[in-house]
Amino acid sequence: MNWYYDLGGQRQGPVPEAELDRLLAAGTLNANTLVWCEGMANWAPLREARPASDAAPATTSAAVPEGWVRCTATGRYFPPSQIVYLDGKAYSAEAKAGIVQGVMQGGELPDDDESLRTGPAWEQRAQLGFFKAIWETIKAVLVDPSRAFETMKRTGGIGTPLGFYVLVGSAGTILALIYNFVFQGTIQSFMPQQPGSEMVPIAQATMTVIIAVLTPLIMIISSFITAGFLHLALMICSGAKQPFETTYRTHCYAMGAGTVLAVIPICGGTIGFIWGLVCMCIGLAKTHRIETGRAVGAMFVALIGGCVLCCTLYMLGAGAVFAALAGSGALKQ
Amino acid sequence: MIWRRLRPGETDHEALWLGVSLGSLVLAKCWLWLRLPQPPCVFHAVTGCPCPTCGATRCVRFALGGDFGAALAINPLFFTILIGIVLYDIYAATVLALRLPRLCADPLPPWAGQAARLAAGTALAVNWAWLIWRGV
Repeated sequence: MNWYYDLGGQRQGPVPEAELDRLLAAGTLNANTLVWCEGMANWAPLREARPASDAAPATTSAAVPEGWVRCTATGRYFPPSQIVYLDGKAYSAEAKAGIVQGVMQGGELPDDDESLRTGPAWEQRAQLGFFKAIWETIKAVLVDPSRAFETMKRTGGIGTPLGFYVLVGSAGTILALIYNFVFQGTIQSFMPQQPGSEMVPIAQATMTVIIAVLTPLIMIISSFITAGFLHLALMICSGAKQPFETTYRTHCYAMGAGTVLAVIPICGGTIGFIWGLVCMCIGLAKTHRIETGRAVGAMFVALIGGCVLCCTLYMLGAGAVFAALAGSGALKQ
Repeated sequence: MIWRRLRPGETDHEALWLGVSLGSLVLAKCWLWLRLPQPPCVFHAVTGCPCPTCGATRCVRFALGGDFGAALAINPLFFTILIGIVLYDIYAATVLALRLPRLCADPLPPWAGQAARLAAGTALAVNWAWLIWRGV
């Protein structure tokens, strides 16, 4: 199909469709350029005659047509007709919604490094494989949290990080419950037994199973409540530079990875909880781009406000140990 | 404050927090019905004094049992928050069911943010003093 186009009042063409795309990419033509081809009743703007070409998907840097411009917010390339300049930086129309939301909530335009945030390995599990993605994510968060959260995607939905948190956290918690239940006889033998305080083993097993079954639901609900407390605390400390989604993603990856340490006998739950908090402080500083001290302050404010929930999470992480201690009468409630 | 539709890709907070509230209610009912162990207060165990949120679990238990007076007395701030959550859930259910625009807050000016922080801190401190005085 051959096209004619109007350039400076002069009719040009005919040119094949591929040439039309090249001229559009080069910026010679734009969405408002009048074009005509056989079958059209009248000359019409390019965006009406060929809507698909004006909304042509941006490409990666590997195959960028000449003249296309990189969007600061998404890192993708777009024709000049789809680019606006804010504060000297190029942004695409596709990123408009996110830019407006970010400015309203954080007062800042997206940074240049947004396109470099490819997320933890879990976000690329389709390419890496399920188990490798989980392992790489846990390893990155626990061993090098600073680097992990510098490259973590700050947006992209809450489903993926929630899936990681529930999967890994539930597995770690349930393994810890089973592990500690198996060895609780050994634990109880070290505890002073009070008369009449022995729990029937079958009751302890039943309670352990019930808690294990409820664990995924508990983790889902507690993740939102805890992240909500955390985001509120960040707002109180003037540290909420990104939307709630960013805080939630940070919480899920940090605490989810920390829960894995619950498989360590006896003290694993405590170690995992504390190291998860450390990772979360580092993560909040990197994702919200605030001082680490401000992130730590927000953490303490959240802990004060949500200490009941934190106790609940702690209890889940060492559930059977708590049950053993309660059965021995060592704890007063 | 303005009423507007959700933008593409924007988090649906009304659906999210309504779901969390209902899920928490179901979980709390199950937990109490099954008589599962309730979390101890680590702060209380170590210091002997109630923490700022001590009594919250009992407040929920009284509220679920319909004893709102006792729920208010045990932890006034947490009971007030519970009331706020109920009102938000009613708003969220209404806008979701009727597909209405959402109520969105504009960013607070600096002086309003400072006032909000001061009010929140004062409320927390006053409530904590009440808990210590009551020996909750």
